[in-house]
Amino acid sequence: MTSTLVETEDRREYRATRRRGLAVDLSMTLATVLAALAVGFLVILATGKDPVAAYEALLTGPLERSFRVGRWLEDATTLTLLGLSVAIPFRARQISLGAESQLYAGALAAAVVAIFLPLPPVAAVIVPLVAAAAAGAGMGFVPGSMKARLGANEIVATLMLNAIVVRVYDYLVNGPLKEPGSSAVYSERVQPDSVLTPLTDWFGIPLGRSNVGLVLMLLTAAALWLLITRTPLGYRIRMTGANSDFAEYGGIRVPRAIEWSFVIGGAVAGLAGAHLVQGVYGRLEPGLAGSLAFEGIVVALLARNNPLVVVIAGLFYSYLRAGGDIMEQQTDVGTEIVVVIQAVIVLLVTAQALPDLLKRRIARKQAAHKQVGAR
Amino acid sequence: MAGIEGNGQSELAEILAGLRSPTSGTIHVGGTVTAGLGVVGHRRAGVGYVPEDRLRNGAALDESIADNLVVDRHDRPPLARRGVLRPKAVRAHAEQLIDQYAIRTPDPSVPMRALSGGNMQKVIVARELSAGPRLLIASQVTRGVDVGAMRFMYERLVAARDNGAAVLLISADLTELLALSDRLLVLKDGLLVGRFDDTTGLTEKHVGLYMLGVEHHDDEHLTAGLAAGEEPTP
Repeated sequence: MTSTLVETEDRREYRATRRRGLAVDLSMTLATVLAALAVGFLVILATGKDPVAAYEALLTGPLERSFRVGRWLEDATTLTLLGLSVAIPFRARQISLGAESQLYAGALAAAVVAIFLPLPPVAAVIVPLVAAAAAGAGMGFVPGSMKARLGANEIVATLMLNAIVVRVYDYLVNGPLKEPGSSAVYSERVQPDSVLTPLTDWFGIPLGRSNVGLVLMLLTAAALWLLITRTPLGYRIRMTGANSDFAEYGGIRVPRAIEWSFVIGGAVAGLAGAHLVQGVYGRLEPGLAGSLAFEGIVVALLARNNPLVVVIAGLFYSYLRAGGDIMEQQTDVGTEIVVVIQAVIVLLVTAQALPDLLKRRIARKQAAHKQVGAR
Repeated sequence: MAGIEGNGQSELAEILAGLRSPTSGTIHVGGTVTAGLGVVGHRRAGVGYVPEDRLRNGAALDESIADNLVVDRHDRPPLARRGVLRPKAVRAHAEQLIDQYAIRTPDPSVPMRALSGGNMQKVIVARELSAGPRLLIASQVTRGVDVGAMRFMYERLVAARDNGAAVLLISADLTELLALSDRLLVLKDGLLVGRFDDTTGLTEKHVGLYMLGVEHHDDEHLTAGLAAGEEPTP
């Protein structure tokens, strides 16, 4: 009977319950991370290696040198943008796996504009970004409208589109867009004016390939949060995800809300592609995104699709990635341990088991308390 | 509107609310032809609908009361201005309806799931009635609702009628229909089989005979008073 308990609370009690719920959530997240680290620790121990040295490298490594911080931030920027790009369709309860195709479409668009189109200084940065967002949005629109108008399964549609776009990308990088006269497979560099300013130039310390894309990412997250919580479109996306029958009954055009969620997500993934081209690599390279597109899904799940939390989850997840690389270089423990840690976290968080259990216990204890008081 | 469940009441309600399109026939609501207008068109024409299964499409259970109260008006002033949804206005709107409709909750941000059946139904009725409908379709309003909330619903429905709204009450509860209705219609196998323009002195047993198909009124009686060419029901 916990469900009807809330009704009988007064406002002060309710607020207290809600605050406590938040505290439980936060501390449980922390406990989840610690539990995952403990599991990783045991696994290293079981393989007969030195877990203390490995963890030292994993947890403090990324902060030890400034260029490592840069490596972390650069990775976090791409990863967070990709997490944001799927969090929006997830909000409409659409399982979009299309971040990969949207990213590559965005990367291509940004590269073509930034390499071949002569533009004045500021426009040279902005126009490729816009082109990338538009290309990503277009790549999101295809599966979005297939799902919304034709009833196609969005998982299949996005996955198939990924397969196609990645092949097209590979072809273009190996063929028409390959730098003439070069034996290695990559495109020409983007024009100097189109480069996203490296953070090194700002802070005067070497920060690797991290760049103002970081700021762009933070702004995007804030904008998406506003979109979801402060606009009618965001409301429609939320209600469509919460209960599409209800949304339809209330007069919301559900197919359109679904389409928009894909288009917006696609645009953000396109920006991630532009960040890689204009900021990180400065040109098109094969396999630009690595496995980041799918890790973006994990980040969105961890953050329960809240754009602001996605930033935190993205930064955290990238930190583990960066630390894992350093751990592999400095000790004899491989990055697989990081995968174990990540997997345990994902399992615990998505299962939501711990916090719910704790909250229910607290509620029960309080109810018992009340009854005793009444007597 | 009486009838044994599954004789076309749900379909009729959904057609009238714009959730289904009719295969034939026309529907007028106060001079607007609504057939084929979609949900938004129906709502604009002044049709309110309390759905029979509130858990399916009457509410978004994981969303707040405040968000559930604005589904049909979230894109209009005062809730939204210049493309921006104003959380303060949404909250104030919710506070006002919670007060007016005696919804029992500590806060508008409580998710619908935490409410009891009667309380949840109050939220839905509050939303539909506060839109000021010309026609309110109320399907099984008191199903799974406690006695207090039931009385409350009855009062609100009668008050809505007194304010000039047409209320189409669809119910499986004959006592409720006989107590509230000004006119009673009976559906059987998707067809109108009974019409009682005066419900005083009408007994459950008598109406029951029509519901079971033992008796039925002839067409002349069913369509009396309607303009030529108009069909009574789908």
